[in-house]
Amino acid sequence: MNAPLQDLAIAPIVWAIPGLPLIGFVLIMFWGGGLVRTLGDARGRRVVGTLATAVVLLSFVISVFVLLELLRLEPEQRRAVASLVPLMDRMPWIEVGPVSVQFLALVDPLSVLMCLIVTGVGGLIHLYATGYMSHDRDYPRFFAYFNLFIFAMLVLCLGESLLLMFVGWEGVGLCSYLLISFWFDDEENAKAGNKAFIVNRVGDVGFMLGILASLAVFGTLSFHTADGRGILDLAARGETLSGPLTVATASLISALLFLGACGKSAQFPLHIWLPDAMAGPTPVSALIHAATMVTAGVVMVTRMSVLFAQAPVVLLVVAAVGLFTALFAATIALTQTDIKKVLAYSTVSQLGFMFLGCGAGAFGAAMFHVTTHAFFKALLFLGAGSVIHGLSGEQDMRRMGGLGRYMKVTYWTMLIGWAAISGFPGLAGYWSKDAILAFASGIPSIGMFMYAVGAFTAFVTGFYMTRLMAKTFWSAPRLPEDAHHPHESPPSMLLPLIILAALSVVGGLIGTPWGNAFERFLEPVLPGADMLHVHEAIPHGVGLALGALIAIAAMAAGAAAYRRAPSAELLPATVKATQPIYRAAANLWYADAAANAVFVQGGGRFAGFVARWIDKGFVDGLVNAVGVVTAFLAEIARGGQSGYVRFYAKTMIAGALIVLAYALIQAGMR
Amino acid sequence: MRPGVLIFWLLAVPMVACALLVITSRNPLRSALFLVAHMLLLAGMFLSLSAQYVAAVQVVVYAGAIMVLFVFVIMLLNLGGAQKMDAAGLGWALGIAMSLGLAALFVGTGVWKSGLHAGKATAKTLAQGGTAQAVGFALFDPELPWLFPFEVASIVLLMAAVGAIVLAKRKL
Amino acid sequence: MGAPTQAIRDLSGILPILVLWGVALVILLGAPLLRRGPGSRLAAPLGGAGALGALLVLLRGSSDGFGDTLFAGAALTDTLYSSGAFVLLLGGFLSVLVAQTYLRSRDLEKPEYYAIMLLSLSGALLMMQANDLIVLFLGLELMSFGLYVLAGFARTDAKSDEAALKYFLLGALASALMLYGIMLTYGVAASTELSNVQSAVARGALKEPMGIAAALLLVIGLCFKIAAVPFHQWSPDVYEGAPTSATAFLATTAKIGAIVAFLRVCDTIAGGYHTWLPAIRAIAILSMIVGNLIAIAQTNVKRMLAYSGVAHAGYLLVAVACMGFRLMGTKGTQASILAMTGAVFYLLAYALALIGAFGVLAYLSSRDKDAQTLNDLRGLASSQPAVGYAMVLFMLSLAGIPATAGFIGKWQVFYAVLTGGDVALAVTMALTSAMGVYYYLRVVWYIVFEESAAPKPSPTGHGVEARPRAMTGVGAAITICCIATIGLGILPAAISSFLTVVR
Repeated sequence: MNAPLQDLAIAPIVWAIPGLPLIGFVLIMFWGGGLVRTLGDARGRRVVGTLATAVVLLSFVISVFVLLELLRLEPEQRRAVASLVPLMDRMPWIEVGPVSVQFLALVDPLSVLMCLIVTGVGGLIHLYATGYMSHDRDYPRFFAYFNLFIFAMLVLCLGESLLLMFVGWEGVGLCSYLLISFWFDDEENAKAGNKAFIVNRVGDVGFMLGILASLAVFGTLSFHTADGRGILDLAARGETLSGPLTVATASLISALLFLGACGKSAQFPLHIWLPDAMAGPTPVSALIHAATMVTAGVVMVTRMSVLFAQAPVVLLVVAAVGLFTALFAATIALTQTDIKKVLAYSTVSQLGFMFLGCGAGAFGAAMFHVTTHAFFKALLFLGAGSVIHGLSGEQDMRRMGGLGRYMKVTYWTMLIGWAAISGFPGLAGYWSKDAILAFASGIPSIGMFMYAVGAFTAFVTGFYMTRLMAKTFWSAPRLPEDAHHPHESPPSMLLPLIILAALSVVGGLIGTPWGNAFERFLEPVLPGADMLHVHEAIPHGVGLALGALIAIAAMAAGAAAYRRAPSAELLPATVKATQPIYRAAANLWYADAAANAVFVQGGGRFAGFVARWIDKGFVDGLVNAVGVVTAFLAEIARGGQSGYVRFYAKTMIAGALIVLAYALIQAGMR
Repeated sequence: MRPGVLIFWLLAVPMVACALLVITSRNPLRSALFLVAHMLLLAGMFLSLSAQYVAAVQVVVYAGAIMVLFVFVIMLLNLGGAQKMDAAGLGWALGIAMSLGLAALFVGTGVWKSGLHAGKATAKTLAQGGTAQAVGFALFDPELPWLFPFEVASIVLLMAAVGAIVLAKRKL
Repeated sequence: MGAPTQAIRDLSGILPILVLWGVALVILLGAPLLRRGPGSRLAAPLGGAGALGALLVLLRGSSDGFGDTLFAGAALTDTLYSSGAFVLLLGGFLSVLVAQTYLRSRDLEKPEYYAIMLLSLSGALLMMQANDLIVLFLGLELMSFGLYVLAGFARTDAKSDEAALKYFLLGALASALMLYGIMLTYGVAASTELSNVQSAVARGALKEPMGIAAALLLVIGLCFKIAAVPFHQWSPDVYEGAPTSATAFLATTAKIGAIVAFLRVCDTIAGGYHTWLPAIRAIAILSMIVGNLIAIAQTNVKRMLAYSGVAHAGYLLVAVACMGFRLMGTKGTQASILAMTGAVFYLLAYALALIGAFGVLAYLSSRDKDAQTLNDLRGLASSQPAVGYAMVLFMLSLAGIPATAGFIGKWQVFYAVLTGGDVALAVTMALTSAMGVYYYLRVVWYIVFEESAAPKPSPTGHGVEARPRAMTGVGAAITICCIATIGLGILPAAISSFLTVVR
């Protein structure tokens, strides 16, 4: 953990990894529209789409080279810094007092892994989007934002200090906001964008306070420095700026950081924004809300794992929140009828698994799941997008069915995605989920309980994914009479599907329990065995066999159940309406409604007379709630703004009197 | 009671009374005249402090020129009649209470602990300090820090004059 | 006696002020020529030249003669002054650019506007250079008189008149309180010169009631100028009523001048921090909370920016509060110096974003329409992308989003107060900044996601009433503000040689 920083021969071009997408963004933002106008619509769009995709794929190529360079070093030496500014060794950004933050990238296994995922999967999704968005009138603007997102995400992953990570963190949030609301004609999307941004702010405050706390404790923001006084260097040695690192300090910082991670990675109760975020275009859902941005929380926790490892209580909280979110979201996914909502809750659930892994101390396993999840969840989203595209915008699974024969490629690739997420033996999801569950079983005293709940959630996962497949592809067609004839998507959309499907099949093989190359690769950035004792209470063979059994059972049970229900409805409508558990799950376990009831209705009566001031329809749910309360307070304060000078003067005098009287009394008491 | 202190009270009580009458009179002209009276008393106060020059300026400039201008304007605008005041109410009471509070604080902080005490001036400095010559030397001596603010004051006046013209004149 | 050389040294110390006075007099004397006809085009360039000339003189002179007192102790030059003056004069120059276009399009242009601006700037400079409370007060009045007049410059507009009158009446009240404070200061220190005040404080002057009242009345007077709660109520009415170009000017000038003076005064009386520090902390926290809260309910962008200005006054007061840590060990001293540099950078970021934002409003105004509300910004990103995204950038900077100048400023103040060990202030600042994002975002919302109310421009790219406005002053101002906001967000070190306060 404490190897010095190395020099990398390839360091002078590391800047290009985030730099190229930034260049793409600038070019398209400023000249994209003009290009489309001068070259004509079709050609202009092709140029813009190609440019946007090319820069990301080029970044991918560079990332591969950086990986190869890194692999040539000894494992424990794989840590280097590289300038993010071309032609300069290091450019200072903020220099306040002794703290200096520079535009530097930290090149180590974790950041390179994330670069590969972001640019690789991101490039494929860009390619897909050239087909998916081909009819959109704001085509250049979409790709400009898309490239900007990739840039911000890469800054987040590569940033050498917490502050630079925060820059990327805010940047991806902003892009997510811009992209969710992309089709702003639709009010739903508009609301969703706001909700996402504002819920994320709650997490961001936690992150910001965490940064301030680390600054106060460690006196620096860099992860690693040449003289070994970076945050992670110090934390690994159990030191702070002054004196040893206590459990309480480590707990405080990691708890604040975890709050930030909860916001970004949609963990309960800050999960409410993610399903709504599906209002954006499907490539956005695939890129930002499945494969990359939402995993930023896991990446951050892993990056700071040395600190988390010294805060056992926080680790337990992380595991508990993760497990609860996984189960909770999985049950909701069982009841959703919108194909993208099912996948959204599935994402929340899978993110829960990742945090369960982190909480168990198995940060490597969590990152492994981040990787495989990026493959198969992107695949599923893109497949769903292909279905939606083929049906001219239909998202409701109740009006699908029997699509397998119209869309062969989409069907077969989705089938692989289904098998992968359900944990079918040998596919990507199987290995990573098993690793997490195996480590979860090793959590002291409640490990077996965690394992049982996790395994049950895995079963539910298999079941709801089977339900999705049954409703979409297997059951009898239920398309409305007047619908367009379903059609297969263009090659630009199918190619990414095929590649991702291939990755979903073989991607897990890098992390099998026998010869776990993935874990070994990440080991240098993770806390050593001396700091955090992680073990698996369940033997490998048993865990893998159980996992396989659960997956196959879930898929078979689902398939069998839906085979006997030709209408693709398992439960009659009357049961759905009356069965309390089903209703609760279908209503998102009332999470949004609770936020609504507590804040909006409760506060609504309280604030009835100010209702007209509330910008109706601006944000809903919890956000609306916050809006009502703050607007109410604002209104009270605003009441003082009567417009009369004499009133203003009186306020001033009153203020002066209070200030003076307080100071004098205080002085008198001293 | 020493004569100086007696003179102080003889001037101060009517002075405060006049000031109060300025803001409570319903007739603007009467307000203006009370202001004149107030300023004359103030000039007397300056005199009792041996500040002859300032006292003279006070009479000539404020009580004389400026107040004449005030009265002129009031006459010109025909504001002679009584003006309607706001009805007394909670706000009014609050305002009075706060003013009294502030006044109490101001006076209190000046007097409490340090108390009212005689100045340290001797007869000689008193005799020299208040003359036009002494004031002139103080204002224009480059060795003293008053020359610069004195010059700045002229710019402040320029600004005020330009501002008043810009705001008042319909067509420049 | 060595009077001539001394006089020249004194005068060269206030050379920027002399340049401003000189150009202002030229404009006033030449007003008949500048009023109409071909000469009318020269008024704004002259005003701009005045501000820019003062800026250049300041930069040229900044190498020698520092830390000296001038005019027998009435004024001084130091790095706090020079860095503050840099920000002030830059803001003044940008305000002239905004005014040039706005006044013309609203048919309000008179040469006196620029003369008053320059005199007002000189007042703010005096506040920064003051080594004597009397000079500080004169500077404050010189600055304020100009601002009162500029607020009421649209004399046919009742709202503008109202703004000027309100500002004047309340400003007079605040000045009276402050003057009383200066008088009481003389009472305890037997001098109004800052060095004497400092030694009087060291002798325990702030333990007496008179000293306590003196310190707090000074604080209150300055709090009024920066619009801190509860002395803020004038600001929304004045911001809204004043002509947009004047709002841009008064919002920045008053804040820059008063904050620098505030830093100096509180640094002087740091020895008696226990009397004023609680008050400043309370006022700062109140301002941050109240300003951010009320801004949410606003639909008029100018009013919204006024309340956001209250919040920013709160953030800046956090830096002022750091002056109180100066005598609390080495960390405290470090915090106070960091806070000075941080506050000046913050002011720069704030001025750039605010003048930019008001510049956008000015850009959108025409003879019959004064752009003020969120509705006027509707769909700007699609109808006029350059201006629209510029406004988005300014909002993000005001909100303190990373990679903008606003973030760096906030960060520096954060860091300073954290070094001083005041966690409560730092946390309040973090929480309220997060709250503030809500209403800045609303502006972004209207610009990017609402459909434009006006008909879309024709496919050729130019609407029917396309105006070649980008070439004029306000276009230049917006461009400069944009570049600087991004540039300083990424490369704040570029400017640190001008802005670092050394002690």
